[in-house]
Amino acid sequence: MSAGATRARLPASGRGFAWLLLSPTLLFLIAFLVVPGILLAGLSLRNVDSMLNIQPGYGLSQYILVFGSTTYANALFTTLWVSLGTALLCVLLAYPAAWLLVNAPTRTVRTVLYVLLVSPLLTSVVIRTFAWIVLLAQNGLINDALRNLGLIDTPLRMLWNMNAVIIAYVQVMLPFAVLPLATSLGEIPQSLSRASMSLGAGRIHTFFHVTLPLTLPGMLTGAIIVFALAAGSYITPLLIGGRLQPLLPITIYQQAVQIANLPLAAALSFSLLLITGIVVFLLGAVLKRWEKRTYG
Amino acid sequence: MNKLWFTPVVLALGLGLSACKDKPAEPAAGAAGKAPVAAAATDKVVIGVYGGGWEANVRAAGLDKFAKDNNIQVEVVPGADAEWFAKLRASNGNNPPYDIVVFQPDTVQRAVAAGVLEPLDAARAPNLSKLSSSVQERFVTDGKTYAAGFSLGQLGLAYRTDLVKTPPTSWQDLWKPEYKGHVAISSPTYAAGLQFFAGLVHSLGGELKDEAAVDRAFAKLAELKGSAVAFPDSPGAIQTLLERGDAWVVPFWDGRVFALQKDGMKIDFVYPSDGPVVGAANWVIAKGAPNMTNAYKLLDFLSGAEVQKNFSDKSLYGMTNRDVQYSDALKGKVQVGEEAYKKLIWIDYATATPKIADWTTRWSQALGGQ
Repeated sequence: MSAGATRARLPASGRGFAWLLLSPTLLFLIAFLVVPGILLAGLSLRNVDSMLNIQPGYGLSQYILVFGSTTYANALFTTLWVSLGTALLCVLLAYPAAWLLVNAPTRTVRTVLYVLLVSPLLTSVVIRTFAWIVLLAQNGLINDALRNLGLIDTPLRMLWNMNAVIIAYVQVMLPFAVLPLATSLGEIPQSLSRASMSLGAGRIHTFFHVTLPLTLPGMLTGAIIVFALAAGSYITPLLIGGRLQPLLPITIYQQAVQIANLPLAAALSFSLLLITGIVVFLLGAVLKRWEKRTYG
Repeated sequence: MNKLWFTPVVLALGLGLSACKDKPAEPAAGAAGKAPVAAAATDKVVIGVYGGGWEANVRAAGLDKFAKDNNIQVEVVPGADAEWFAKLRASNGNNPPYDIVVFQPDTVQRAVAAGVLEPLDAARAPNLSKLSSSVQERFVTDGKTYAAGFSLGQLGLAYRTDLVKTPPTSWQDLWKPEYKGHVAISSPTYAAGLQFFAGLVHSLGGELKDEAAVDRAFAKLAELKGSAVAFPDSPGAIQTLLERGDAWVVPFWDGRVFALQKDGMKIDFVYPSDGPVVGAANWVIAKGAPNMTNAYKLLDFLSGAEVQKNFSDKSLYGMTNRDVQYSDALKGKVQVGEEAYKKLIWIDYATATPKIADWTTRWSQALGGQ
């Protein structure tokens, strides 16, 4: 992401070569992302009859439905806030983990920590989500433990609400926040904090005025990744939050897979894409400004 | 994790490709009212079935035997209504990717409206005449029959025998204080949810066509706010809830509950006194099916009493063929036969389908997010 300001221009022949190197990726993206995207956009502009069958002709009826009804608009903004909250929590929790990774005493310890961090990504998200059900259910591990300790009489209701969804989101997405942050932290020369201390700043002051600002790009990168993943995932909220959570991915899943109202599902998808796109663009803009300020 | 972003991409791709197919230059077979000429026999047939246990049951019930006996290559595609319907619609009666698929009654109706189903010719599948008339009459449009009923799931109440003191007997028992905090109901977007809603409307003495009765049902649902603990969206989710003891009483289908009971879960099923609701699985043939001859052959085979008995032994569902000799174990539990079927509540999908989005919204508002 951070290319720095000293971007050397390639000679013309080199630029052609660069495009050649890019072409497989570009072709793949055009065939499997851009073209289907355009087709989906076309689908979102179709009207349906009372049997939800697609009618000839194009119109904005689906978008009017999405933004004209409080339900879908609400779901859109709830999705936005929950995803932003998840991103914020992930970044906060990622900080100590990243710090541990960077300041590991030996190479072996660091490798072990990296393996620990990445290993959850080797299991499917469905399985990890189910694990939360096993933990949080009425007769799940946590309730049983609390009951056996005599701390509660009736089981706590921890599943099927937004808090459970956020907890599961954070657990599933944490590694994506830790990795860029660890990279950022690792790039800071040790001498900077030593210099700050020698000039009379305490540890806390040094952290807030030297380390934290320098890790901002890592934090933002992590936040963007987590935000985008959270805004688009439907398996976790469906399994843990249940149907009543006003989250757009659940609604899209229902319209596409359960009711087969494809034009509405397409319009909902594009609305979500638009809103998350705006947020990611804004976060990216913050990053760019910060780079400009820091590196001139 | 990458599955998460990959899924929509794959979905979009599937939609894209299916939308890509150009309309054929030559008119499709059977267009303009001409009777389609019986195509030459092919050596294969493509069938869409529900995944998981359903697929295993239907294979064991005779699908594999059919392939061997007739020397026909049977290509089984596990999936669900929405996907098959989307693909049938995209091919629009011109060389569709499936010959025969299983549909819920609401999809049958939408597919008939979209004109992608073959009207069934009774002469080519003699077993159709042996199917329950109270079921088959539901699939008649303009004097033509478009589907063959297969298994007849009935939605009633599943409950945990070890956690519930007094078993429920009717839909309205879900509101009992005793079950508070341990009831789960599905949203109208899921088949079981819509069927439960229909059962509730009928239980309150109305029907789906009647706006006032629907309003009454939503008012009643609002009283369930603190009682309902979860809103499952799939058979797997319902099963998990019952297994974990999060939910004690859940609207679910008879066959599914008896199958879980057989696997040792402490669970039983009640046919509500105010009327169980139909959740039928039905075979349809795609218009312009590339292997039409085999599709009819297979449809006739699946509608036969022997195959249906085998399926019923495994799935513990009542079936539509009137001559099925049910096992004694099943007869003691499952309500079968024309007498029982006549009393079942059928969803009026002509009313329900256009209202689904609206009802889902009202349903969410009535029960309110936490």
